[in-house]
Amino acid sequence: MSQGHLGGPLGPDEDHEVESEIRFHLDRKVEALMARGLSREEAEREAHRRFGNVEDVRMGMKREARRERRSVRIREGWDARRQDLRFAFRQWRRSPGAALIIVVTLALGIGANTAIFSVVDHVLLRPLPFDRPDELAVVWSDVTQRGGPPDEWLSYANFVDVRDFTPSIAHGALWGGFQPTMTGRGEPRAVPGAVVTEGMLSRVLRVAPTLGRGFTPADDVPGATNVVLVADAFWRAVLEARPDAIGETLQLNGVPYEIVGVLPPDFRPPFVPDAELWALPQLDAVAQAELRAAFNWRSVVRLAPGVDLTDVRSEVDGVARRLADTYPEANTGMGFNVVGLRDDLVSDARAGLWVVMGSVLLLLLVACVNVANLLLARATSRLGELSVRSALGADRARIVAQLTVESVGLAVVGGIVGVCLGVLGTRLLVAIAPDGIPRIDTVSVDLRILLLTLGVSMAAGILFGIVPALQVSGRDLQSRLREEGRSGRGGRGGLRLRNALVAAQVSLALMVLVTAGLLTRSFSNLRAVDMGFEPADALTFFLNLPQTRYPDGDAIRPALADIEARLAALPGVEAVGATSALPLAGFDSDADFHIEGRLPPGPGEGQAAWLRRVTPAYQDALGLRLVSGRFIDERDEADGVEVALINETLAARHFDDENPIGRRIDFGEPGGTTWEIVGVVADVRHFAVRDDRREAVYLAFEQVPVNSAFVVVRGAAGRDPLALVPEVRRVLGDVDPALPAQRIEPLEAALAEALGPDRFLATLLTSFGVVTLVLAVVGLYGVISVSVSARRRELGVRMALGAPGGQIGRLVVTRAVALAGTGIGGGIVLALLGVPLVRSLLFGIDASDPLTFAMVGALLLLVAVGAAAIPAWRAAQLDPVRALRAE
Amino acid sequence: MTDSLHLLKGTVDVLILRALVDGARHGYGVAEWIEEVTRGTLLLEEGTLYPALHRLQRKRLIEGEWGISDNNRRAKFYRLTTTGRKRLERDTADWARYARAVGRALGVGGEADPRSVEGEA
Repeated sequence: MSQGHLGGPLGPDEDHEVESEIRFHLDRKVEALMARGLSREEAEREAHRRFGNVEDVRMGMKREARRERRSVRIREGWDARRQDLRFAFRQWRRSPGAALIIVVTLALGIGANTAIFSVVDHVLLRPLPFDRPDELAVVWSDVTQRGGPPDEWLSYANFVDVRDFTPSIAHGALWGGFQPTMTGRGEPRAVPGAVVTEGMLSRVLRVAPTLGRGFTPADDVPGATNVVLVADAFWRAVLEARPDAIGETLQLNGVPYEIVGVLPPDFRPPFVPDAELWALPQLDAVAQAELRAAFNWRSVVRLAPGVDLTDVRSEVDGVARRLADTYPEANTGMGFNVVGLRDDLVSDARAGLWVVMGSVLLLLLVACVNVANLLLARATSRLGELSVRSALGADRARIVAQLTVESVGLAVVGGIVGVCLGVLGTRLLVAIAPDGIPRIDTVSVDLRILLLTLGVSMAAGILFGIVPALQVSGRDLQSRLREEGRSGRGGRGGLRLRNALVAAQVSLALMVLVTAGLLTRSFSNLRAVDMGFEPADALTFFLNLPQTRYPDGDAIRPALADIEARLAALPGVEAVGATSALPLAGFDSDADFHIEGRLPPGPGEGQAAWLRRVTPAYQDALGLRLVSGRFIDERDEADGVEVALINETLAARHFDDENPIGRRIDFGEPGGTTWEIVGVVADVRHFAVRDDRREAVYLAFEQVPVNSAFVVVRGAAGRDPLALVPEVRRVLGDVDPALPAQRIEPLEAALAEALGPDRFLATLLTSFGVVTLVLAVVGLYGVISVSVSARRRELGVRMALGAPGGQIGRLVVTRAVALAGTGIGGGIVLALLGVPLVRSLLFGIDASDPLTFAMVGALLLLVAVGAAAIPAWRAAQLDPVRALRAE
Repeated sequence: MTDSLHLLKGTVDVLILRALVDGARHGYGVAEWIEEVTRGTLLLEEGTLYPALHRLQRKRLIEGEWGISDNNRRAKFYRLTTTGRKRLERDTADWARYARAVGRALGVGGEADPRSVEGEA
């Protein structure tokens, strides 16, 4: 048993150790064997035999040595990083202000981007939740040749021809609005739904009922039993999720519908997301063929797999030409437009969302520049410490690693806080988003976005950690330190880079602020628009008089008159009127008109006007302005002279200097009714605040009654119109217990909703603008104060030579203004390049509006002066003696 | 040496650990000890001890240090670390259970304990 003492000197190198160990073993073995009487040769042979292959042993030992070296390297790497992290933590605790600013800056940038990217991804980029969603498209009537829009609705006959004669369109179906009053299951209630022609669900959208059956072609013919499919939510809420609800009957508008199936819970077609009921129109194809010019429908089609939209469009153009040849009356100048379903849905929201995304990216850039600047300033101010470490033997890689760990640590913290902000921000966005952004209600932050933003923060940390680290360690630190010692702390090179970064920041901030300014001013222009009526103090609701109980005018007229009279008698109500199409309610009907005594229009030359029916008190209830003549009044009874009002646009475009009062107008039916124009009313912005002017005709409701109407109840000025709601509901119940007041809301709410997207954009951009501005101020302040301390000596010399403190302060401020000015100049150029992107969003203001640019520029200059104030004051207070001695 | 057994894989490690329980040994000492306690029953190519020793050292079960042997030559001595001592206890218990189980299964004195071998040594 050999017992030597431990703790001797280490063996020389690995190879030598291996050899020594093997040698020692063999020698001892030979000795032992010789002691047993073997000769030396015999002993050596036996020792080798017992030992085995020496080369194998050698290899085995060296393999272990290699493994050992590898694991030591890894362990040392970890230890070093942990050390770096601890060191970084101590560093940042020593200056928590800078660390906090970096974390907050990154968190704001990342949070805002997480939220906006989530929305943009969900609304614009993600495929629709259907089978092969890229095959889905929408066909519109394109009436641009007639001076109309490219996305007019369709007539049944035209759609069927387009669908059946276009080879690339595999399937297609039509849909329309449907909001029947449901009775017999609790309170009467208007249920949102849709009417679709057969095939919409099964072949176009490819959705199968989870219970019961879908529609069949036999269901969609005139006279077939009325059938209805219900949404999953409706089945659960109204039918208590009973499987035997299939086969039950729903009373819709007083008509029985048999429930045949339940649709899947995730089936929410974005064009009618809230539909609870799906019914069939049961159109008569023969009758519809006569109505080729009645644009009552919207469509969804499924294209053949793999076809290109441009090919479909050229096929459809061919069909349009043939239709125009075959039906010149209805189809001259009529084209068709095919748009991908998703593009069609988001077309309105698209421009706004891209602008928002661009701005939020600029914000992130400004944030990153800030972080880079702060880290750069820190790295430079730590030259002393780093050079000491380098002198003590830390190599360059180690110093770079140290600085990188410091910045990545901060970036990760900033990223985590930012993701939290992003999740909250997404919820906030969804909550304040206006109606009309498709699919926004289902937006949530998903893993991809989280990984993306965390990746961005890591990249920012590494990039902005390594750049200053390389800068600092780039040259021999010793000589660098001596040089800095002479020229003042900070270093000219670093300062130049930081100046450039801050100027860039000001440029980016200017772009965001100009966009915010333009959108804000555009929004206030929109708010100031004269709508042509008085939105304040009015309550409106939609009334549907079911055809079953109100089959004709004789039933409708007294009911509506009764309701109007009872509501008008309520205390605090000033006027009550009704119309077939209320402004901002989202729909209207139109017809081609003809002025008596003029030439009848040729094919495709028809002039359309909006056609609205109104009761006499509608003028006061809505606050319509009469321009000349008289409004419709009590004289215009059902059997009286047929009268009409025209709007200013129709009067201006079609009567020039002639007086329209007393002229007659008709709607193209030969030998049909003609209407005497008795008055001219002011234009009303009917669909949106941005509406273009268009001809409109108002007829007397009494003379052309319909089953549904909007009622406008004007309350006393300054009182909340919603206070009238219970009274209104009670009155309706008194007249007919089965009549619900649908869509009851103040007229002002509809206006606010119509302005929602603009308000949303302006608010969002303004908040981005404020954040960007704050970040830019932080950046300016940081770089100016660093430059003041870097130039202490120079400033001290100036003061020692007699320059007053005030002059020194002004010098600092002038530098700041010059820096900001450079940034502003660059920003204006960049912003002008970006002008076309925002133009489509603006109202009443040009995208290169000089006033907005000037205001934003002035604001940034002012802010630059403000940011320079404290460093300037400090510079002015400089004690020249101490400043000079400090070096 | 005629009826010697080839070592099962993994047995070398536990034998090395056991050899070092009483104090530090160099590789030759370990080989000597194994031969002694097994009375030559186990056929061991002595060279294979060295990669095993280095492997155990890498796993921090033993540590090695150069020293001077009793005949005044430089030699590398190995001793157990705390982790190594714990591992030996665990391996010994495992080995005993294994041997008992196999012994019972083969009907050859299920209570055989490797420690008894050691005792006889």
